[in-house]
Amino acid sequence: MNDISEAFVSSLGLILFLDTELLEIILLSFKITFYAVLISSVLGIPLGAFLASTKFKFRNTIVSILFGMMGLPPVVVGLFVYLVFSRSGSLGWMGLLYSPTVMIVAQVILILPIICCLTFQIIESLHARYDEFFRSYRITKFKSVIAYIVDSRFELTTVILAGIGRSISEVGAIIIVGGNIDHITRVMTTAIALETSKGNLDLALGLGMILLATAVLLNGFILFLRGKYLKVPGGTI
Amino acid sequence: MKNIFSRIVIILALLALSSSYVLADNIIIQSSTSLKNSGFYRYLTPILKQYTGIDIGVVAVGTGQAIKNMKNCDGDVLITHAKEAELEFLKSGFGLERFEFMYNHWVVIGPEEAKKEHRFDSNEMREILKKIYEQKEKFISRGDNSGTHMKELSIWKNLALKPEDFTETWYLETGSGQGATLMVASEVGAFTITDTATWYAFNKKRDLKIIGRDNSNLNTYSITTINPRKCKHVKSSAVEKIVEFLKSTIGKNTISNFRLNNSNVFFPI
Amino acid sequence: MTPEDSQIIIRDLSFNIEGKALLHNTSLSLSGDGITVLLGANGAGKTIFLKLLAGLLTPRSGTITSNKKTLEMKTRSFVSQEPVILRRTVLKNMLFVLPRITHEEGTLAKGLLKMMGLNEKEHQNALTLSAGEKQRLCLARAIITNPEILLLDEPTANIEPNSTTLIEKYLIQKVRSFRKIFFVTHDINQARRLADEIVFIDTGRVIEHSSSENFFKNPKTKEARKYISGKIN
Repeated sequence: MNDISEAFVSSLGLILFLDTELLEIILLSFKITFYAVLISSVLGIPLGAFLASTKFKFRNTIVSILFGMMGLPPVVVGLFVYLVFSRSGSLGWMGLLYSPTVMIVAQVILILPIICCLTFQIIESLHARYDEFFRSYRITKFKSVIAYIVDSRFELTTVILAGIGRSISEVGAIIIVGGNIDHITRVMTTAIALETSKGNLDLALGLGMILLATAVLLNGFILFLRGKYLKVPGGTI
Repeated sequence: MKNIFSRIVIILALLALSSSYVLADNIIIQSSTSLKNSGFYRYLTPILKQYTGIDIGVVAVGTGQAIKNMKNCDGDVLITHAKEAELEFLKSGFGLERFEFMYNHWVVIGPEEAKKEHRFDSNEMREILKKIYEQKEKFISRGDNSGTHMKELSIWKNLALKPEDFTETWYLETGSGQGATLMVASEVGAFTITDTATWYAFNKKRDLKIIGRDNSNLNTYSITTINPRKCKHVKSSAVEKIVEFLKSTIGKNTISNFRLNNSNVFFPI
Repeated sequence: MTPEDSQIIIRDLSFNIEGKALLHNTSLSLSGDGITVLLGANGAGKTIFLKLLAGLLTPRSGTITSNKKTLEMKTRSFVSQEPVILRRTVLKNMLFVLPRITHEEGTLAKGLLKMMGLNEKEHQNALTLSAGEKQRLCLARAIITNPEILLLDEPTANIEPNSTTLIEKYLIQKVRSFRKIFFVTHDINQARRLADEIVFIDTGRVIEHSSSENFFKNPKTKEARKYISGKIN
């Protein structure tokens, strides 16, 4: 119990004195999550909608693989990305190792399957209802995929929130490919990992509480935006 | 309505972009964990920048991993504390030159009672470890191929003892960082090895005390440069400036001036 | 073009699911004008037949032609039994089915909504409409694409009477004269009100086909007689 109360004190201290290093770490965490979730959503949501509403030869195989990828251990993804972007790896010439960019790449690999598969599930049931209607009016594939996405915008917001949660709490992959370098690739989760390995548990817990608080605030903000801008005018749905 | 929404998105995007750092002008140091944990790099970075204009980024993964990463050319210079591994690195052709630049001491940490009860006749590390083995006292090993771990293994080898045979009873391998290892030692009432800088930086000592130290072998930190023929992207000239700095009087003073809890923990060579 | 030319010729049409025949080999000539009602008990195969006419199901065998061309060449609109409404306003639901949205089409959409009594709810969330209002929207939506053939699958089955009346009136007064209508129902009285031609279906077979007048005055089959008198539902 002692450690936990010390943790509270630590985190309050960090916040009250507006520790600039802490701000830097929080900002970088948000930046990485923002880009990782943005890219994963822009690619994953239409892909999930398309897969849910189209039958073609290898569809079920692709869907199974994507569902399987949801269970990828972050450390394994981190190692894989590290080997690819290492100087001795195939994409080493890009010089991207130990940068925020490669951290985003690793996270997209982890998050895209989640967003895609959750979208798939949501759209699948919508497809059962809309398919005949779309076919009878000869609505193009492009227009119908957009309609699926627009009509599930409420539920898809939750999918994005799931992606954000997954990203902001991730540490296994980004610590390997990012190197947890001070001021450059250190984010909240990797800072917690570092303090834990140093034995500074109260500081680690304090950072953890701040991480949780920022995640809750972020989720709240997005839900607020959803309520304000994604509703259909003139109705409650 | 849509205007406000897009404005918010733009603000968020700007926020996200604002903390961009370009690694192109930095050099990457592959380092042992003990140096990072002690806070030495945090202290060194602004001073180094002031005198050489170079920004350093430190990837602290442990000596074994650091050397492996360097063989993949993922870094510009190596700072570690395991002489044998460093010499092997030179032999492999990846390393160019090795320069020992500072040292401190290896110590044995253990529960307070052990000291009070005078369980060990000598305070020499080698003797203490021998007795730990004989009396099957609980011992925590880093088990992670770090410089500290390599030091520990060298002692067992020198004593011709095999504690690995007893991993289920008294020889516990955590595979964790130094801090975590010390925490386990404290919880379980066990012994372990660390260096003086890590020890002074560790602030949850509770009932752990220094039981003994290695009086014959120092914990020596070396900086090892990389062969540009093996690794084309190495920023050799920047690395050279750092090596020159560490050799210089200012560099040596910088090392001496680093204090933890008002004690000197590193000594320049 | 003579009435015979505009007829819809069905040859050897059949439909199966997993080996089970839901429509047995059927051949007949349907009128190319007016309202043809597909009548029968629940599960008789009326909806299957309608969907085959709509091009929503692929038959196991057979062809459907009109004036020697396949029915694909005619524009068709289909209204399902359960209204399919998108999560947007009433007006936007109308505009969704149009390939282009121009000023004229917008005006047309609003006009149709007015005819359906939905003009005041134009900008209301379509999902909040009553069942009857939703079907009226679906019907307006089906008309705006200007189909040559309109196919409706029991559209008034679960809605309130005033919407039913509105829809029936609209079909008879405004649509019948220049579009072909196929209407599925199991309601005898509705069939009486709407039909020019009756196709009576029983367990996957068309067992009776005649003008509405002849069907109700002189049903030829025992099943039809039973049905008209209300013994089967």
